[in-house]
Amino acid sequence: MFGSYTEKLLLDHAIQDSVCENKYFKLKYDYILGHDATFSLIIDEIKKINVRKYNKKSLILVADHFCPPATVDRANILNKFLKFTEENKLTPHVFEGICHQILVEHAKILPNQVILGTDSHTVTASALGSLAFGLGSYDILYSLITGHTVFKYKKIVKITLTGTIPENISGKDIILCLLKMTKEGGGNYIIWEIEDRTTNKLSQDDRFAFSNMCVEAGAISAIFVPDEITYKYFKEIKNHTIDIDQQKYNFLGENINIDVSKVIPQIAKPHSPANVTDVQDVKGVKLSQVFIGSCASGRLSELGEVAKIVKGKKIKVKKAILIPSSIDIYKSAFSLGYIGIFLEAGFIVGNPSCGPCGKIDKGVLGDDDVCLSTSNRNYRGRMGSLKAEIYLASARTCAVSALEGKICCP
Amino acid sequence: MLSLKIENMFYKGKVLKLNHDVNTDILHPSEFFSLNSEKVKDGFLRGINQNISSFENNYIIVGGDNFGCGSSRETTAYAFKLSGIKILIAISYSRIFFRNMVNNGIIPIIQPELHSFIENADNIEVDLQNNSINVVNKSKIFNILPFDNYIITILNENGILNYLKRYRD
Repeated sequence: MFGSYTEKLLLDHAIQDSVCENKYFKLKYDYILGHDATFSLIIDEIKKINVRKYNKKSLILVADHFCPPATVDRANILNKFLKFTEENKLTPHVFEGICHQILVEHAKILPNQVILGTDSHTVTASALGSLAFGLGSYDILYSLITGHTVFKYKKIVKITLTGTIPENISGKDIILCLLKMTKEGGGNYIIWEIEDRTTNKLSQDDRFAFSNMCVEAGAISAIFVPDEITYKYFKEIKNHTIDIDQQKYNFLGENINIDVSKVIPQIAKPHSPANVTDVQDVKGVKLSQVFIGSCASGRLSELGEVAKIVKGKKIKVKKAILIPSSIDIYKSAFSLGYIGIFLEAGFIVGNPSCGPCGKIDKGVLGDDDVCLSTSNRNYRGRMGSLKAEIYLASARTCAVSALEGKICCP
Repeated sequence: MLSLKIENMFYKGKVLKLNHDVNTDILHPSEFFSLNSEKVKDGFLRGINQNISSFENNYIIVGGDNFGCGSSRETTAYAFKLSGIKILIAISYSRIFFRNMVNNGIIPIIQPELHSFIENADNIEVDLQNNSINVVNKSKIFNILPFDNYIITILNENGILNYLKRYRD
């Protein structure tokens, strides 16, 4: 009997027969995600390798960061990326959406895989039941050439969600609760395995939001054990039937139980994603910008919640940016009438991309800006000036706050 | 158990003390992400709240817990390398940052007690042969925690690109 779903996944991919805590070992992978920014760092090195000697089939390439480019330098990086894909007969996803959303929507991405990525938020895909994590570009180059990654983990920690999810609570609120407990680095070298035993189950979109931010605690991945929600997602989005995990495990490790019935809306204050408090505690803080989007959010069910909240009303915050995280989501939101609602309310609706997160695109913050965002990092300078303040919260909290022009509880 | 064998095993400098949880947006703000080395080098430590010009390039970074947390952007590591940094010391490192340092031939030394003992501008000597850190002006010696064999293998090759060349051939 295996200790856990994750332990079995590791064993299925380990090149030697056993896996060992606290020791480097070789792990096979299924796919590698690369995006226009960080994949470009290794293009010159790849050109030096004999073409037959690297694992091309494993590559899922996405142009999303410079989408479209906002500076000459970035335009040159994107063009280098596109030229490389053309010369090597690779088919990148260009301007289709944020790479992590493209990855989870991708037909080849299934549970029980090992997925590497040139971006720390590759962890988002672990919400589908795979070990997905980020690496630096040279590490990815190594894996492309060798077919494996050299992996080390400290332990597997189970997170059990129980209770009934209150109506105003989302995956974001729950991960912020966990970050409050662990602090930054509290999950370093740890693989979280999540079992959703709530009565009303977190939606798949909420699970993506949860897993996306596990890396802010340093966790390697946040793997949701596949259940009926995962099954439904694969059926509806990919027309694919997966196995719901019904195995019994003999888990002897640490378990963190979160009773979601007790969770109230959470917010990360400047300047750390783990500097978490109840939204109530910072009620009334005046906002100059609200951003709903990034790989941590911008999904259809969240856009639906925002539309419900702002329909027929006008936002008071001067700058409000909303970015659906993929073209497919944008199209669906459009058909459902959400985009019209956002525009009427006063939002700027952007093309699916990273937007102002990471200072990449329009909507960067000035010295005096106070921004409430659904993104995943609020470090000093993350979205612009080192003097700006960024708070992180759920899409619902952002929507009600945009209406009032100050932080409000949903 | 392998041993570290690189060209220079001995370093000395003034402590540049940084906090716990120093993230990569501080170490190398994202606007300096580029394929252009000059621009990348220019971004080194741009986000920290200290004036490092007084150190005159003779500093050794000593960080706290979870050093280098945040983004996986390897340009952060390139900036360290382009700035001539060969070693740094911290209580602990974030996973991806640690790997990026090693892969670029920079040695991320782990020492849990040093950080709370030292102050900015203390004189330290790092002896990789004898696994020790000497705080010269305070006459105290700390040990360097051992690296895994895999890490030593990459560091002895001065980074993963050289290691890959050998592996391929």
